[in-house]
Amino acid sequence: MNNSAKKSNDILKNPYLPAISVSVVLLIVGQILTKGFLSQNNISSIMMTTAILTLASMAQAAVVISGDMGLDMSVGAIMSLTALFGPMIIFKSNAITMIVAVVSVVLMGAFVGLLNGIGVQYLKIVPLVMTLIMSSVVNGFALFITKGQPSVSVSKTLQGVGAVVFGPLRVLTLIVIILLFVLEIFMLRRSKYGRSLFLAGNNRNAADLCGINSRKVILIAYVFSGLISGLAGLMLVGYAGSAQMQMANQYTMLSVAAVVIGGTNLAGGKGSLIGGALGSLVLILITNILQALNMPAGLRSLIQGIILVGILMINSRSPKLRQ
Amino acid sequence: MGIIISDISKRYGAVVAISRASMSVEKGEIRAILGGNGSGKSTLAKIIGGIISKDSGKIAFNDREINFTSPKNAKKNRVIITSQELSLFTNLTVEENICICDIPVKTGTFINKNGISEKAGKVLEIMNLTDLLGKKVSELHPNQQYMVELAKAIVQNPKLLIIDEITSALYRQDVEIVDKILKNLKSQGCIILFISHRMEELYNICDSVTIMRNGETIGTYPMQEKSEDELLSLMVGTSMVSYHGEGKSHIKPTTKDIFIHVPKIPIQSYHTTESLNICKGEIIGVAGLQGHGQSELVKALYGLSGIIYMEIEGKKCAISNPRSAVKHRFAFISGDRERDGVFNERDLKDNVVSVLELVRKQKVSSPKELLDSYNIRYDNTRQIITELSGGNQQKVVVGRWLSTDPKLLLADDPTKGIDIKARTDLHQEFAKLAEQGSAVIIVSSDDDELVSITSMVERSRVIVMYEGHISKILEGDDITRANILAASMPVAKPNKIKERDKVHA
Repeated sequence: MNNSAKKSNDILKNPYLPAISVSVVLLIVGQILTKGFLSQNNISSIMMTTAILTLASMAQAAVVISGDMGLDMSVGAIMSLTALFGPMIIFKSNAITMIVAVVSVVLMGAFVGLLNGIGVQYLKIVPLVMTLIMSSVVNGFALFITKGQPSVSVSKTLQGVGAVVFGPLRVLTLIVIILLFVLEIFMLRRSKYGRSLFLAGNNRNAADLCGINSRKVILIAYVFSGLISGLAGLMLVGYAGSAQMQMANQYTMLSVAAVVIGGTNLAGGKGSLIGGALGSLVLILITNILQALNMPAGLRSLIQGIILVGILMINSRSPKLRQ
Repeated sequence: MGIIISDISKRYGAVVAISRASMSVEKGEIRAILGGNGSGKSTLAKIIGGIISKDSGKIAFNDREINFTSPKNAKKNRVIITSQELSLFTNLTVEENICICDIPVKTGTFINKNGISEKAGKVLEIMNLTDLLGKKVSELHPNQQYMVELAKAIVQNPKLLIIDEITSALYRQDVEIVDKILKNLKSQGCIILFISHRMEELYNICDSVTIMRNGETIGTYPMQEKSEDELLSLMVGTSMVSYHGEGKSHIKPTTKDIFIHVPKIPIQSYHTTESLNICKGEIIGVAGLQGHGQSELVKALYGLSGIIYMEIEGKKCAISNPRSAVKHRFAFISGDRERDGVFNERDLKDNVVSVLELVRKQKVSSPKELLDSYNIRYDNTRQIITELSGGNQQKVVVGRWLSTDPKLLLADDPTKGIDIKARTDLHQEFAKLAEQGSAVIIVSSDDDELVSITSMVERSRVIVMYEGHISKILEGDDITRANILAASMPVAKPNKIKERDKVHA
């Protein structure tokens, strides 16, 4: 094989290719269907919502990569929880408010993640079941404490995540982009932990024989997932400006979809956070286009569902097509 | 009559798996297909069996051109393939698995349980395996699973039976049965294509042999006309020294300094314990019949059967899991590379440096150098490991461990299903390790392998296991296949095997 053919072959094998090409097509389709789709305002809001879903997909990706049929169905519930409780933390100083809020939502999420991890790794409960139960526990907890009537006012400080940095770029978008690359490169790709996670997720037996403590590695993936979900909830409420019960529950399924579109293998051992971000972009673009078309909510979610099935179908078949 | 294969080619992208392979096999002939890993044997077998499609060429079976589009299609024509990748349902019983391709039914709809037992029972009786009836496949030893796989093929009354590597996991007495069954099928006019790396079996079972190399069929010869060395050089393309001659003669060790003393090694399935002294620079071969505790012995030493106490160079220590074993510079290589060795989604670098960088916390400056030093054939370090042939994959796993400079290498049938060239390479690596003063304990289902590898170093022993105990320790010139076999079966000694063994010895 000559070099250029090899190169083009490598590009075709790029796991991000489907998500990138679909995004470009969607941007063009959006602009054709509705005027002002590519306006600075709309781009800015697409980037914001993508950023929040990206956080959720990062949480999901870690667990999916960890293998053993790993799925975190509590991502949305944790987000809803911290969206509800995060804004309650208010101090006089803006900086302290922000720091304490972030630390406490992260701890809240990490604790739920730890329970998930213990359930999956020590009590040997199937991840899907364990995290679904946990999602219901977390939702119940929120309902119990707030008695179903959250009276949360989101402080101006927290709403600052929506402030414009320059052009269409806002604070949250910037934070997520930085976080994404830092975690992707320094945690997932370079750190001993990230590399052990891939090995444990790919072949737990072999990883254990290598002396890798797979149980600990996988447990940490669940803690990481909870931690990032906790952060995502706070960001969501800062952007939305008001909190509602279970406001983020849809993020569970969306995060799974985003991760799969981004080329992460549901069987574990393979994937990336950046892929999840691209998958998030695709999903948000679809939603955005359907919204721009003034479609009724029911029809919108129906069409969204059908498109999702289509994308996942192509995605799960693509390795075979390549062969 | 028979099968005529002409000019079959198959490419995967840029990789040529088979190029213009041709051969013809007569009715009632048992044909061996011999070649290194990656020479296209399995691909050819899969094409004939309808598992994968060919790019070009023709197959004529009983004077009729065939082009199977699926294994189901092939089965209708009674062309059956059994492969090294087992096609069993581990959650079903042995008899259900055997009949799965054609389940007996009552009144056209309902499963006939008695019919299943009867049908499977007949085959199992021929195979001397009636004690497997009613067991779940997941309960069986790997070699028994292979036998069930074979039974499943035979129950379908094949006219053309392809056996791909099935015997590489079998122990000698199983192979006897396979031999008997195949001869029986042969007398009924069945064509058998037999793929195996074990020369002795090929000579016993097959009538003729087709050699494959780099996807081409090099030639077909009557089995008895070619010596092992000749076959080997045909396979490799250059003449090479035979595998049996790789070692020196056995020397009985005079002095011994005990390196590791293990007072109690639990063999769980027999509820027995054994003790073992391991010397520096020693290769210990572990022999025995199927499932007599050989694997459990090495696994227990690696901390896989709970905490184990031992004295290493006089110091007492406890090994509770693989992690602590790795800390004591132990290494474990399993023959089941799919399950225990390879990270199939990861690249060569991740695979080869996994222990060194992630567990022993040493930076590997050049994974490429590491891979090169173990004679691995690869394109670049970022290749996914499954792009390599089985033998090369196993070499990567071996490289992973040898690069950690282990003091004790535990190997559980490490050369299962890899070609002779790769196997010889691995033996040399093991011998080199022992020469540097480390100890090697190797389990093998192939006695020849043990005789050969123990002859490569000065200090060596073969311990033979029977029912969870070490029944015999062979040293020096006592390490022969005949002695190993005799010690493996202290109770029943079938005369036939002994006689045949003497002839070979």
